[in-house]
Amino acid sequence: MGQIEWAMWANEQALASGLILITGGIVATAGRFTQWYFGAYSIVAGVFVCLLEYPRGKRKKGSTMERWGQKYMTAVVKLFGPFTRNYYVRAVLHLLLSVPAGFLLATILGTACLAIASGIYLLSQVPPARRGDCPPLAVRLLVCVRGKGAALSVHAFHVWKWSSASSLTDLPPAELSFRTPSCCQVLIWAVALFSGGHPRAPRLPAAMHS
Amino acid sequence: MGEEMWRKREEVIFSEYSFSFYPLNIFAPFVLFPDYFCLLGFIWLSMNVLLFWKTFLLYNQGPEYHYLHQMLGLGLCLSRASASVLNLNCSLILLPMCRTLLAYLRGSQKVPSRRTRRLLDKSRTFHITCGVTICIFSGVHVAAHLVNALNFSVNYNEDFVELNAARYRDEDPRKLLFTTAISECSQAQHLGNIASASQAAGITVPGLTGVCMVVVLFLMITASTYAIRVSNYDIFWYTHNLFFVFYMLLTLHVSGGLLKYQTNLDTHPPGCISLNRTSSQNISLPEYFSEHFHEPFPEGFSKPAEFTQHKFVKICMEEPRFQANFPQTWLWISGPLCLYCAERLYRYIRSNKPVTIISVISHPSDVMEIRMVKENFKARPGQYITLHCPSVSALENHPFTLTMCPTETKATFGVHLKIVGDWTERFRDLLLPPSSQDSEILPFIQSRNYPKLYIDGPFGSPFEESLNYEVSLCVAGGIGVTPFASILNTLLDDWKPYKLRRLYFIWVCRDIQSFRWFADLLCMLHNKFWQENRPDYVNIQLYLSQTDGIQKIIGEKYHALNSRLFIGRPRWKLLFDEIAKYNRGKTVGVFCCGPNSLSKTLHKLSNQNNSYGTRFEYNKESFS
Repeated sequence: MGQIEWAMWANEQALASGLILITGGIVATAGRFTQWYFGAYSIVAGVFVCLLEYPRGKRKKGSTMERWGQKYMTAVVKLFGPFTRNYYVRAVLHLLLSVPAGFLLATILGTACLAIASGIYLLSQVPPARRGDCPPLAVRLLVCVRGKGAALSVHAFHVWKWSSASSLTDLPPAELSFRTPSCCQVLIWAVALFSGGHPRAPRLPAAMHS
Repeated sequence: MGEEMWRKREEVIFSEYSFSFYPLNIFAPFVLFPDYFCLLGFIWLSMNVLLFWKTFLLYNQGPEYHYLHQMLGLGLCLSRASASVLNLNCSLILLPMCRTLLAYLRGSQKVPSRRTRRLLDKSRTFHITCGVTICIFSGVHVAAHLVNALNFSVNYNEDFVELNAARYRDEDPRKLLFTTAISECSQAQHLGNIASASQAAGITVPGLTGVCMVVVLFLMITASTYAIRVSNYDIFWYTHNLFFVFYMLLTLHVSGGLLKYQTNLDTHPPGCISLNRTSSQNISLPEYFSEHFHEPFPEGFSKPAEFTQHKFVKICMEEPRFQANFPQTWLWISGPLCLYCAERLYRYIRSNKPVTIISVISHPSDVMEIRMVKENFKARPGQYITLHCPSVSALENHPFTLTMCPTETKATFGVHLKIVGDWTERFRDLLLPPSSQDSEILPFIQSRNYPKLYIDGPFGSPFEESLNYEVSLCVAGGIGVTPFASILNTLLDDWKPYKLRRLYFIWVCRDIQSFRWFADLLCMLHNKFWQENRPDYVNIQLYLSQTDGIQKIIGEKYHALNSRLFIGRPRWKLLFDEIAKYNRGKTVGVFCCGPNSLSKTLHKLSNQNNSYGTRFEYNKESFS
């Protein structure tokens, strides 16, 4: 199970959820449900999600089957840089987009499906070797705060382990095990600075080896 | 794990056609296979259209649904019509998955016609077609019911309260679907009113189960696309097993009894006039008639009977009574579901006893052969089995074609596995110690502790048909030679009982060492036919598609094969012309086990006409 590329499935799910949102939105606005504006929102959100998810991400290993005509959308999606490349951001974005549609019966299924897709995107970011035994990020950040040396070493460890590849000419690989979200990296830096030290060149401290 | 199986199967068996969820190439089979499959497709389509139309008309015009139709409108008709189509497809979709039954039908005398047996090759296509239909009509059904929920609340009927699903006019549809039962049920139960509690539960059970079913269907469909099946077979396999949850929810979903029909049509014809009601509204009868019928009232109020005779106005004798429909879905799905469960039980019992591994042989180019015996195991050449080794993985089953079938004299059967992916790698490490993996023959070790291995099968495949043609062309690509190996083994044993009189065997490989997997078998077969004075029975051609320019031979002792070894890819058009010329007027069965591109080329050539009157019938494997 460790080799499964969850993000590919999440991509299919998000695309299908977009279609479900559009259908629910059409039913809501055409059926003249009360609060039909949620239906209109659902159509717009559905179209946005479909366009975002249409390009299939490149697989970590093996060939990727591209969808028909996806290269046009890929060019547009890449314009938004890290907001679309990063799967954490996508997961959060899908979760936020799905919430307003939950207020109307016609679109509630779209909410459920998009929320599931968001969950699978999050799951895809957990490294396979560390699923189940990974201490949460908050705990590691707490360790940072305890002391300068500890902060530096933990920071160095994380920067080394989670250094994000900045040169991507294509969409992100389906399995991004060791990509840190940029916001978390900023947080680690901030905490390290707060605990009183300049982050130096990263080196792996032996004690933190897992 | 799933990937390696699909890589292997990709080489070995091509998928039916690149079916992916979004572009609908559902009509491709009808164009490509103009035979009984077309007829079956036409019958299936007609049944769906008929059911949809009949149910639509029933709810649109049927008198027993008059009041309900007044309340809900088009949504009622669409939802029920799509439900009847869903009933049909949910029952039919299970039938192609009864693989043991299909294998039995393929081999039995009850299906004598080859054309009918070819229908069984399309079982997976049929399953996918039913699946897509379920998906589309579920969408229609859900959309229509959403509109129904709205109409139930907006068109709340004060006259016939029991017909309503809402508690009051303009109730929020979400509350209608999800929360009606919780408060009413508890209230009713508190008051000891079981009938009303069950009615309240009946309102929300379809709603909740419906939403859960859509979520389950969503998970199953998104994981069943071609891209996912090819890259992550595991996701597809594990989510597809949710079908059982889907069927349980379906059984509950239809028990709600939300939509009711009128039972007393004779005493209360729909649209009849209730005298009690009109008198309470203080309207006199003539005025009532003129208001409602917009026609000049015939002179004289004294002839209401004549008037009623001409205009068929009925007077209501009593209030309408409503009753929920009997859940027809239970009748539709019970048969196939029981059949499928019986088959799974039979397969479980049959595969519960482990096999005894006789020997494990390591071949070049990462191939391993396993020979085993099992009591009461019978298989026909071309069939495949699935292997399950709990020491490697508790949950996974992987299919492998039999390369040697048990005969009357010899109970040993075998499979050749290509080591691609982690399941086969771990399996090989368990069976062969790493030190001896390089050598070809394993030294006999007395106390060999092989892991427990369970097999399921055998299951049928189109390659079994190759012995039923007078002339067969078998094309193998790489490890795709395995189904033909079992055919060749059978011919080596005894060729006379079969209809086959000439076999063209083309084997294309990338690596010269791959030919050594069956070089002995091919040589023995060749020698046997030469000795029996049938040198033209088997025509072997071996092609080495990639070469680095160095002259290669398979092995010094394989003279017959070396002289039949060609460098480069085969020229299929010339080959087909040659076969057509030497088998004029005959029907040649074409079988291919290899990459997609190869199968497409052969299929296209098989459909082309030739001047010799020879017909090529292409048989396609469908991995099911």
